[in-house]
Amino acid sequence: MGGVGHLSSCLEDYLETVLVLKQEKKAARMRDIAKHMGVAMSSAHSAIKRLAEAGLVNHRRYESIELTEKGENLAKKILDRHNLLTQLLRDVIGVHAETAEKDACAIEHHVSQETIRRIMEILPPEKNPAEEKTLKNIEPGKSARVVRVRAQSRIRKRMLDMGISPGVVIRVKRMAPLGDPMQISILGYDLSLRKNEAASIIVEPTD
Amino acid sequence: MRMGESENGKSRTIKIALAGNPNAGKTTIFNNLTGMHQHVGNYPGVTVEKKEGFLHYKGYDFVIVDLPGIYGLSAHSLDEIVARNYIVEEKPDVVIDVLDASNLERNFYLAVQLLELNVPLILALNMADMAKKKGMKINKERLSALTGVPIVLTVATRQVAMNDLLDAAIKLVESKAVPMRSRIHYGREVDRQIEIVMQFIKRAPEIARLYPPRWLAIKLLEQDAVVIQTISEKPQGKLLLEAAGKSSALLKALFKEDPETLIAERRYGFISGACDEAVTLDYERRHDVSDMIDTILLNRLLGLPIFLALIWLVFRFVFWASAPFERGIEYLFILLGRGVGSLFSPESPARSLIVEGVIGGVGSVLVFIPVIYILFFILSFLEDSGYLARSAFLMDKFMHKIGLHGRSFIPMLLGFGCSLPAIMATRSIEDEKDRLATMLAVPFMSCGARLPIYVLFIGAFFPEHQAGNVLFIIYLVGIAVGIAMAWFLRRFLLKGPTAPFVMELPPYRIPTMKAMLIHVWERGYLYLQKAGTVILAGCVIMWFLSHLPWQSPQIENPNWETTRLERSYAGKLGKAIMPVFHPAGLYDWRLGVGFVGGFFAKEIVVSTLGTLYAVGEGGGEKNPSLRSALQNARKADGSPLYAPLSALAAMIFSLLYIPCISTVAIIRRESNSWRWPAFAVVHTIVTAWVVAVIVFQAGRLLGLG
Repeated sequence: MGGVGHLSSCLEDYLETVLVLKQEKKAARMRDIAKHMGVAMSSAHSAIKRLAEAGLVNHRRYESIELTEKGENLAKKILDRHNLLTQLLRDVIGVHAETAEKDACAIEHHVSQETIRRIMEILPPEKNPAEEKTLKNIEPGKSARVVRVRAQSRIRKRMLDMGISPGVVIRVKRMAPLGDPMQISILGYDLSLRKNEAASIIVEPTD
Repeated sequence: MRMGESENGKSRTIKIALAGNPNAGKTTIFNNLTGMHQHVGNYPGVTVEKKEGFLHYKGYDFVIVDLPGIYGLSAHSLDEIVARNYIVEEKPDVVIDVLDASNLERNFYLAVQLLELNVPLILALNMADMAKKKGMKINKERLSALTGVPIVLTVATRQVAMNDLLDAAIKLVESKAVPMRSRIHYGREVDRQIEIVMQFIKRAPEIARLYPPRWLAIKLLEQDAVVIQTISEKPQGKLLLEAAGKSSALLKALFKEDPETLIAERRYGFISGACDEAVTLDYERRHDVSDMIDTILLNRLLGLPIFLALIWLVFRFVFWASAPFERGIEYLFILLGRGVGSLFSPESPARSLIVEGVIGGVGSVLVFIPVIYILFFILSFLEDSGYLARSAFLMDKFMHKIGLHGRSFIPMLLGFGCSLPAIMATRSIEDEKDRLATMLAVPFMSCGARLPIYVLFIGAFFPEHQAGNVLFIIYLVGIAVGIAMAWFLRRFLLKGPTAPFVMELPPYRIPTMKAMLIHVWERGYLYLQKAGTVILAGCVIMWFLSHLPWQSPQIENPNWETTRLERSYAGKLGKAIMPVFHPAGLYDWRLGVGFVGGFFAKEIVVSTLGTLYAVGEGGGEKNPSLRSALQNARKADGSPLYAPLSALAAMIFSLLYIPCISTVAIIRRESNSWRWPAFAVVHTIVTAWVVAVIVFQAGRLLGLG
């Protein structure tokens, strides 16, 4: 077995589910876990019990399930591996996002560490959004170069039409008196956009 | 042979489509070429305006279509879909792309896409003088060689090189040579995928006939929603889409970037290269006048006060300046009515129909003309000068909170003067859903015609020291309901993503008189042609309602008018609907008749009450006898018909239900459908009733009754 720890693939899925539910819904409850996994409540119960015995989760009756530190680290590793595989299937192999998700679930427990390492080499993990600067962070009077545009399709198209494309330099002129939107200068003309739109433009400061 | 061409050498028709970015001077060129020979309509089924113009030049008949101003052909806004469909489907003989030469790089983005569309193209580099002032020296021949299309340098505001455009169009149509187009290279990988998709396109002849293959391949790689929709309905479409989807995904994986962004990046790369070669900058651009104006008008502290003061001045000026004209028109029509009326016997129904129905109706159409003309003169000044875009910039945060766009503010504000021009002003809102939501919220802003109703009821039922507060509350209710309605519409009925605020702030310019006058003339014409007929019909219907069944006038009976109106259909209708208003504390059937009349124009509410209470001529809102008549009106059991609370309910209802038949007509015209005006009528009446009932019942519970 090429799993991260020494858990069975089934238990890995449970651990992953707890983490996903915690991220999505703030709390992982037995009912949601069963629903998410598509199993009966009793199966979920016994699985969580075994995770608790392994010291990965804390669970008291009628309360939501908490990950221990050890459990959280392991769950994150499993989730990363899952996301990596999904990305590979979707972006490189070109299958549908849904299929990619499903197949990643099926493969993830049986891939060797070597394969994972190799995938990571050809597919560097996406940059952590916190490290990136967006146009929203640029102060009035300062300039920045566009690295990429992450807006949703409709707004991105509009931005591209208006000249906001990778490599173009933007100067922030001012904020509107109410604090939003902002006025920028690009390709020698002036443009306005809302701050939340600016937040989807990843830039590198030029001065 | 091209469409419209005739063999015998008589006049030939050349169809030109004018494309270009907003603010590039496209409409100025259109106006210069066609003058007053224009026809304004709508593209079928949508609110986008279609402008066509005609001219005769060197033996050719030109039909020129002014397409909506667009920035690209990616079809994410209605304007772009309309423009693109026109170019692709109607296949004009020549497409002239108007570019702002002083802002060449961005303007070229559309030109590049038109190049790929492989249409007969001419580039008009407009505002060549501005570019020169900026220090730009454009090598026309070089740029023409780089793009493979003819280029004309123009200055539309001074009519420079207008005929050169027409000459170029004739030359392009008459030359049989296939133009050598330069092709943009998107890099090895992208080009290869384009080739692969093109192979699939060639295997599907039904699809290949629809669009130029290379353009279609690029659009499919960009995953253009409209194109995909069209293709998916064709046989073999599925296969093609699958192949294109794979190519698109492959590019995405290779470059870790959307193919769309990738393609745009390469296009800008091509543009920047072409500009480097063909445009030289003589000297560094000096500090821009627009920048200096912006530091004042968009100033953190001064920006908003200046805007609000300016808009307040505009508002006051428009309604102040149009008032004497309105009175003049009213007076003229009274004279006309008397003159024409004297031709008939005073007892004939025909006299009443013509004088009160038709002439009165025409009068009520024309009475809006001064305000529409004056307002649109000022609005087009604000728009052409570049300030209207700034006003949206200033107000966007506030308007965005209620789910609308910064551009919705001015129409909403104008609603306090008159709903009609306010609704017409929603045209500057780009997003269709925002435009409709604003259009339907505007009527809740209390317009001038509703004021007499408040003056009458407040004067009759509230002490003088409360008058101001009550009036203020009524206006606030209108604003609150309008905002709630806009929010509700955007949230539920007109659901959709918020329109992006990625909006150009064009440099300040001094508008040309000609452009403003044409704009005003157009608005006035549209109003008269499209809305005027509906208003007139409404007035005639109202005459029938209030005069039939016909009763011979009894000149000697002073209360004859009262009896007549009471016995008419309108009177019966007013009486019949009154029980509906009982929950709002309203029992006066005369008010019901007033409400029926108010549907045609709110002024009629007061005059109807005047007639029905038989207070004689001049029963205006300040008429003391009408006031005391209302105060002394009694129910069958002797209790008063009105109390302050029910008077408030009456005013609230008058405030909120559809302002007038003209508003209905203009919503019909501006939304290009009967669905929205019908909706407006129903929803304003329901809202008005609900709010009036809530006010009355809540007031009673609080012991205010």
